[in-house]
Amino acid sequence: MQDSDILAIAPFSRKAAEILEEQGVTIEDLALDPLFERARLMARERLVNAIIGKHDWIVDRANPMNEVYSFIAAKLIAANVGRSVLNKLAVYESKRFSKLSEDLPIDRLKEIAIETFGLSIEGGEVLWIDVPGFLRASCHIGGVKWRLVNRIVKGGKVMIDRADLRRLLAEYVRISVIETPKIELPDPLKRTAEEISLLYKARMRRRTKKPKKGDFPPCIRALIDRLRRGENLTHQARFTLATFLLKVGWTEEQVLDLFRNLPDFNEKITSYQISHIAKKKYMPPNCDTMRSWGLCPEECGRKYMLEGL
Amino acid sequence: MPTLMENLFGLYYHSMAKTIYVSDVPKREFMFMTFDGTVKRHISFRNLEDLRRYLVTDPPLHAYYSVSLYMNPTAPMDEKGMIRAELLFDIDSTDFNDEVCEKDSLWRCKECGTAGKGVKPRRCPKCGSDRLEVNHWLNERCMELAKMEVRKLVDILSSELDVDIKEIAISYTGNRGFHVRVTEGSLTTLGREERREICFFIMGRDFDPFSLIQITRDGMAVLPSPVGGVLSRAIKFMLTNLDNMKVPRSLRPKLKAFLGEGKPIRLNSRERKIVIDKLKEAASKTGVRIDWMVTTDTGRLTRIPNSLHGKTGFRALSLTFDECLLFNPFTDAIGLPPEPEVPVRITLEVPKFHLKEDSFGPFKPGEEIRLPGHAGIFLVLRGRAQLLES
Repeated sequence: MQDSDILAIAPFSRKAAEILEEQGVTIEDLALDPLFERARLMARERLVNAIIGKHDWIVDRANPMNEVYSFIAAKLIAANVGRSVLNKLAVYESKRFSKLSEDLPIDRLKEIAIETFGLSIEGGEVLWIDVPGFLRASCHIGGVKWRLVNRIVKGGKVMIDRADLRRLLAEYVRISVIETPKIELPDPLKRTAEEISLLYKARMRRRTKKPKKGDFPPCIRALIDRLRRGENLTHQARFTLATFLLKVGWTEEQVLDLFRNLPDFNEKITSYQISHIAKKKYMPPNCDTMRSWGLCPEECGRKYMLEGL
Repeated sequence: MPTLMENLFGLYYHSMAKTIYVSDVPKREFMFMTFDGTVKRHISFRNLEDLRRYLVTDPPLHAYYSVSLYMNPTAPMDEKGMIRAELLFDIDSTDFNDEVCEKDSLWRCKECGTAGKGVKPRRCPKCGSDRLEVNHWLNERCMELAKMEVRKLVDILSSELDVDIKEIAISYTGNRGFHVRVTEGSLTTLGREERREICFFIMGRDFDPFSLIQITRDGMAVLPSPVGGVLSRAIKFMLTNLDNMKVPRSLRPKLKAFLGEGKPIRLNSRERKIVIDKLKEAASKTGVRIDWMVTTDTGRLTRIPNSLHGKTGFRALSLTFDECLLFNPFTDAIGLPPEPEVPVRITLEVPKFHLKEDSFGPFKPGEEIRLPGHAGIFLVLRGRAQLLES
């Protein structure tokens, strides 16, 4: 594994940022300099792939800095277009890292965790991560194994393995992309942003009615809000939303339309899942389950989700 | 014209203002409730001296400060700009539903007026309504139960979450429990979701033993060996309380090998269910009974340590861990003076109670008596007596 490979796999890393700083590359250079033509094309490709959900993960190993430049350009463009596209790019970059980091040696993963995300990681075979560092990412990952209550915790550290660390880092990548500030872009990049915005709108056009939020319980309202903002939802959150909305009388088509906001939306898979839920007449989870999934935002006084509906 | 009660609260702040301490005063929001029920929010002070002066000149019934530090403490909520927030744990014996603690609490159905004493039933035994109101009482048992929770909480915070004991502040709430705060460190930078995770970890809530149990070729095994965390707490508790937890005798040797020595074992489905259920029960027993909604709310306002509680007149005393274990509010937290005596009419049954060396009661509704200031005001604030014109 060479240093340059790390740059290609982790274009978000501190090391990449340091090189950019050394080179003194500005946003104007990225937008106008002919030297960055390839990077601009790659940035556009990152965004298109993020929107259409294409994951082929081709890496420019010959010139890994192009991955860094295009990553930076893509997130600045996405932030300029809006939250939904930025969310899509964030999920795309997170999955990209997850896939490409499969063979990274543990020391490299630890290096990224410590230097880029400021985490505290100790150990080798068995790893220990600081509690706040674990929680900042684990909170957004679904499944019982990501709950602190189900972890081995000692002296302010949580026990994790290599696979856990990769998953946590992927989540940190997603969070860091989402935090990209919106800044005014020089013309050529602005044009790419407009083009990406049109592409995104065209993909979304098939959306129909707005969901009614009437007297839905706060957990469902929170999920719908998150979806409207184009945030990613865990499998459990998606299941909850689909079972609930079908139970209160939404059609499969309406539920499918709502899910179009998901950053990793795949019509074929989603539509199959929704039909399956509808056919099996699954009930929404009960409130205890919702709490155990971390999806209950407040005690609303209902005994079950469909109470009063 | 200040009332008698305001005067007594004022006297307290006049002599005790120096004991009021809040860190980072300029970055916090303060809230006060006055004696006529007015709530004053989004207040800030330049420094501790200004806060103390305010309490002396305009003594409130309740005094609160924000657990969060803000860039602009006086701005509306969404414009305040949170910097970080203390991790506040609320331990309130009201949530324990303990029979001895609640033996003098009075409940009343708002629908049909049926009334009773003791732990509030879920529904009115007469009309079935769930609209029941309670007038709680506090006694030594409530405080002992709450102290046990403080002990467990401080232990988990320091040994499992590595919080420096110097960063843990304990205070009596002034009523039926304690507040435990983590005042510094990386945990204070966490958001709502992360705080909820910490709470559930501390409570042992939603624990799923299967997430740490693996199926190996030789049967079920706890892998890797749990050296800390909820499962480790549950295992320790279970192995030392096999009798109390009613673990079937036939299962005990297997359980000791499985949980105590970490050996893989084979269990049939009935045995497996027992083990899992018992582990969950042990997790919740070793967990701490806190109100997690309080901890997750970073916009929370909480009682200022050493201020007076408007439902008892007791001091919300700051305590060290050792002081907390020996603490008795009826001798240590009396904030109001015995002088002057106050005439009161009893409106709800009052059990016998002590304040410092003196004992009072029991009193029946309708009785008109003169009591030392601290005792009379205590009954009035608890809603069990009315102040009469002297």
